[in-house]
Formats: sequence, C-alpha cells, structure tokens
Amino acid sequence: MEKCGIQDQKLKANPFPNVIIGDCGNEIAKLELDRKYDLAQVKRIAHMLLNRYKLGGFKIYESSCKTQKIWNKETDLKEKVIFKFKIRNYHLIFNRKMRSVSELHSILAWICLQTKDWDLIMWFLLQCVKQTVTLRTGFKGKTRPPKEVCRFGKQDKMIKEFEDNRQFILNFMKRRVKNRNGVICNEGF
Amino acid sequence: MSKKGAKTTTVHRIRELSRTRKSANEIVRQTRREGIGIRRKTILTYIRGFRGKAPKKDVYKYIPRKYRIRERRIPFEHEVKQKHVSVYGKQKGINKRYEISGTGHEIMDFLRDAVFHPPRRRIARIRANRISDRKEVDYGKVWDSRPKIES
Repeated sequence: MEKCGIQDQKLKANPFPNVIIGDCGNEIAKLELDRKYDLAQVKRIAHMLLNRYKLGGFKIYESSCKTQKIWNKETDLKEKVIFKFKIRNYHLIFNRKMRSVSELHSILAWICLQTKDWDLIMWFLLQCVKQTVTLRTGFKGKTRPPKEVCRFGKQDKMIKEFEDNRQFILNFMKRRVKNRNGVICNEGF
Repeated sequence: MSKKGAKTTTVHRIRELSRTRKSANEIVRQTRREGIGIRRKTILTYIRGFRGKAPKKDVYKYIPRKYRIRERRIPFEHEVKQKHVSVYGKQKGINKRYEISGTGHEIMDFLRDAVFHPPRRRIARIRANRISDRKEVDYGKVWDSRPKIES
C-alpha cells in the first residue's frame, strides 16, 4: 500500500513499447469503465456493487486521460479552440475473493445490464472469450500505468494482492533487462 | 461405581447452577456449601462449556517466561504466493498473449524472454517453473513494433 502513487511517477518512458503487461485471473473482481464516466459515477457504481454483493472494499485507478478539443476556424479570435474537456478511464477492483468464475461473471453481467454501456459489454464478452479477466498494470504505448485515485473499505485481501502484483510489474520495468543478444533494452531510465 | 455416580451428580448440579443468573464465584461458593468436592479450576471450565464462552486468549503471557513450557517448534513452511501476469501484443497483425503463473522469481525469469519474443500459439497458458513450457516461446520471431491494441 505504501509503494503506490509517487513511485510510479519515476517511470518516464515505456521500456517495452511493443507489448502490454497486465494482471490476469478469476479470483479478483475487476471492472473497466471507459469514456462515459465521471469519478463520482464510478464511485456510485462501486458502492452499488459493494452493497449488493458484500465485496468488503474497493479501489479505483485512473488508467488514462485524454483531452478533447472542439475547433472553430471561422471565428476571428486568436484562440480557435472553443471548448476543452477531458475523458477519463477508470479501473475498479474489489476486496473479496471470488468463490467461483460463475460468481465473477454474474457480477459483471449484472453491472452490464444496469449501466447498458456498450463498451463495458464488449469488454465483458472479450474477457469471457479469454477465460480470464485482465487489467493493464504497465505502460500502453505512451500512456502511463494506471494510478490510484480513490479507496474505500477494507484493503487487506485481494486488493493487497493486486497491489503487490502491480508493484512487481512496475519494478520489473524499472530494471535494466538484457536481451539474449546482450542488448540493454530499457535505456529510458 | 459410586465415584462415577458422584461425578455425574456434580456435573449435573453445576449445569443447573450455570443456567441461573449466578456468577461463577457464586456458583463455587454454592457448591462448597452443598459439600461437593471439586476444584475451582475445573468448575470454571465446566461453566465456560455450558454457557458457550470462548476460553481466554494468550494465556501464556500471564506465566513468567522461566516457568513456561516450551512447545516443540514445528518447522515453518514458507507460503509462496502465486502471481498471475499476462503479456500481450501483436505479431504480424495477429493478437497473441501469454498468461504466466508462478512465484515472483520464476515469472521475472520468464518475462525476460516473453517481453521480446511472441508465443507460438495465440494464447499460451504457462507455469513459469516448468522448463517444458519454454518451448512455447518462439525465439525466432519478435513482436510488432508499437501496435494499436484494444484490450
């Protein structure tokens, strides 16, 4: 728990731009909420799930943030950007250990029905195809690894495990790794 | 036979008394008045059993260290946590992924290869401690450079 947050900021560049490293498994209840959601809405969804399935506690990570601009070239003003807004994507993780894969799938299916979010439904179907639920913990191209935004309730079981796993991957990225040919690949640090 | 009968009557009597609202000390005094010969220590254990009270925790800390009886030490078995890591990317436009499970050291060792070389199959489920699973790595090929992946 102590290692998260500021330590991630030390990673400045992606050492392995060709691949994405993530956490997979069916023991932790995880969600990905993209594009449409504000942090308050994500919290509300998390509390809904927490109360319904008694999941102990939750943690929210902000995976990426994009700034969108609306342009108007016809205006005479110097600044031709009329409006700026940010789109944020979030990851949700819960504390209780899942009893079975079917329990995890039922939770995810319920939230898909409640939100009626097409992106979330597609993400859920993709996880069903892969047979594991995966969330990104490392870099993705230029986007940085997800950072912690909010936490609520107990954090001692699966959230702790997830956090350990996340730190493990970040530590791996920090190290200088030699290829089989003897080339050092993460020179960005 | 008589001894056995006496024991059953005492236990029966203690059970009766423990059902009332009397405290443990009061029950001890009552038994002494009635002439039942039983230790205070055993009465208290009976009462705890009848009333469903849990025994006190960490009793050993009240005994001085020099009088404590040391239990035989059992060798500590180190519980190693299993980690699950996935590495995914594209090779010639085809999505491919590793799903690696094992301890930290084993995964770290395997990731050194997995980060540079794709698997032979589309989805390779690998236990990092197995040497035979190294065959899944396609050492002759490399991942596509900077692909657009939708996770």
